[in-house]
Amino acid sequence: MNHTLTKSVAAYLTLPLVALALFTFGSASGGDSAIGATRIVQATAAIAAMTAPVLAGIGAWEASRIRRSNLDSLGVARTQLEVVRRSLAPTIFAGWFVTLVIQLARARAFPSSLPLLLEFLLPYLIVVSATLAGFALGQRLHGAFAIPVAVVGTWLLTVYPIAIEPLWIRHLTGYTTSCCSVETVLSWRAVTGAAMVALGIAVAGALLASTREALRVFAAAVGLGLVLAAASYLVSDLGSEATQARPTTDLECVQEEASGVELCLWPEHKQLRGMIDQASDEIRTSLARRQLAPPAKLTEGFTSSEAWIFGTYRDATSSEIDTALVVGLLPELPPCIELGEYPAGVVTGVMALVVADYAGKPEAFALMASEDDVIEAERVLELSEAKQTIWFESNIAAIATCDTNPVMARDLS
Amino acid sequence: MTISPVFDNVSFKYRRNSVLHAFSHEFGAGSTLLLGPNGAGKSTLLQLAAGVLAPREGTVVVDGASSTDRAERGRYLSTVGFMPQRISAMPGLSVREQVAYVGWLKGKERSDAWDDSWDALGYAGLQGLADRAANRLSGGELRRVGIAQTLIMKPGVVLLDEPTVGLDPIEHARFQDVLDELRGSVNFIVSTHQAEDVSNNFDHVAVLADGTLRFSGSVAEFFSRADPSQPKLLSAYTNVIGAQ
Repeated sequence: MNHTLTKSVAAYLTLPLVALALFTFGSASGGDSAIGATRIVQATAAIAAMTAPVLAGIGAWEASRIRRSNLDSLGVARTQLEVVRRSLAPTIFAGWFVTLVIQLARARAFPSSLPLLLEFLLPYLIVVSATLAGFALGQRLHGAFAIPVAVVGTWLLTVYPIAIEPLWIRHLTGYTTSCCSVETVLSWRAVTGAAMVALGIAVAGALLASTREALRVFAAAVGLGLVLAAASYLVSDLGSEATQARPTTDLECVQEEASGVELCLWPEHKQLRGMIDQASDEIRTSLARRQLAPPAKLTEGFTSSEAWIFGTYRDATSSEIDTALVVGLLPELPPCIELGEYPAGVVTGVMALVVADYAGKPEAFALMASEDDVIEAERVLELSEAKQTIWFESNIAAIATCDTNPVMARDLS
Repeated sequence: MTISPVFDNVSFKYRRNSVLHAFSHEFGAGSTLLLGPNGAGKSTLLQLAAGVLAPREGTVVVDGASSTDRAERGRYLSTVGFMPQRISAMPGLSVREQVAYVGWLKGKERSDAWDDSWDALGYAGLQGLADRAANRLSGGELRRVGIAQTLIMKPGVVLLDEPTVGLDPIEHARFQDVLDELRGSVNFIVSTHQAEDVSNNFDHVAVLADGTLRFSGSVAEFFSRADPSQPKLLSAYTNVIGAQ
């Protein structure tokens, strides 16, 4: 008869762990939850924050019960590594099962995502590292201390770094909660850094768990220190978010042969193509009446300054798309707007209302505009066509610079 | 070949405290009572024989296998069964699971360990407690778990370190019954610091003091060291311990 010989508490905790991780995963917010990378990150964060501490505690329990049982005084033929493997296999499998369930839940939530291989593997590494670290702790401390220290310590080391500076420290734990908008992807540096740390802890934990030789313990400590240093170096250029610009090669572009107009969208937004096509056609037609022509290429993501660039999200309504398209027609605001030294600031809101009117979408900013801007926009639109052209061309230029005074409607009337 | 530990020029010390120095002795077949006062080195000697400790110098050989030879260590450990003074239950395991787990630790495949654990429990009279949580056993029952753990490998020699210390008279008697049943089917060495444990149930007596073997012989030879005018057991023991 085949028997597991050593019952693990992990067997009883697997289902509660699955429930806990699914709850954490389901209630996660931040980023566009429809985006594959976001869901992967949320899945990893759920594993790191909720599953890993429990597994570390179980690892500590397994080590402490072996310690208490005094069985190594019997003359043991198995190597310590074999003993560790047998003790922790159920715990690690439980962790991997939880990870698999979470990843299946993620895949169901967003079936078309193609996860980064490394990010896909990261939670599995975190499971192993937490369990081994807990075991190594349990070998050295009494269970009454080792188990709570393993649980609380793992949780704090995972979650607390997002509250401290430098900001990049948070990227070492795999507990990334700020990813991703559709135009960004997970930074390979953050994922690799977290994977290096998890792997380093796993190897150091295995070394510590399988030996008490001072030289190997020293090697484990030095090795882990080096891995931490290398991973820190890797992520130290990142800010608070573990993201980088998404490659524009991901854009799916369709060009109309007759007009030459091209519309490029992120794959996640392909269901919006019809609405965007229709709205942009209406805007082009309306602008044409003012002898204005937006760029032929309408695109999400920055491809070139010659393109009509806009941004939207998966569940956008038609009015939100109208607003996004009109915003894309406005010039990019200069950095000085943050400093307050921006004379054209008084007409940016007015320009948005005027452009929205020219685009045939006057309601695009209706709810956002201030009363003063609405009054000034009405004054502009009451000017003659020639004067409106002067106002428009002068202020489009002024808005794009930091030192040009705008032209007001009263100056032209 | 006799399956019993052969010490050849063995030295061992804990840090600076030398316990055995150039110790050589071949234990005989059958049952041996290893007697000596506390701190004499009995436990160290048994742990060296069990392969739990490695000698600083010299070798311990059982059935042609050396305890320190990596290639022979597996065979050595399966030939020697050792029951330490302290038997502890592994939390979360039943009695049978604990015995089977020890079988696995000693080198058995998982399924073999599980199957053989039943027989081992039978030798120790524990089949009725097989499914009980190991950490709910009495001290005497735990000692019998220790016996079962020792026997699961069907060893050629069994080493029992102070197996009856702390047992109440009923548990002590029950444990002796287990030993009596083993007698003849396996060689064993039982260490004790209690001279009253010497009895004709043993084939040999060895007396250790200060890491030196003061006596080795039959029970009759041991008692022959007594002064006729003194209580036989105490006198023999005192004379042996005091003899240089």
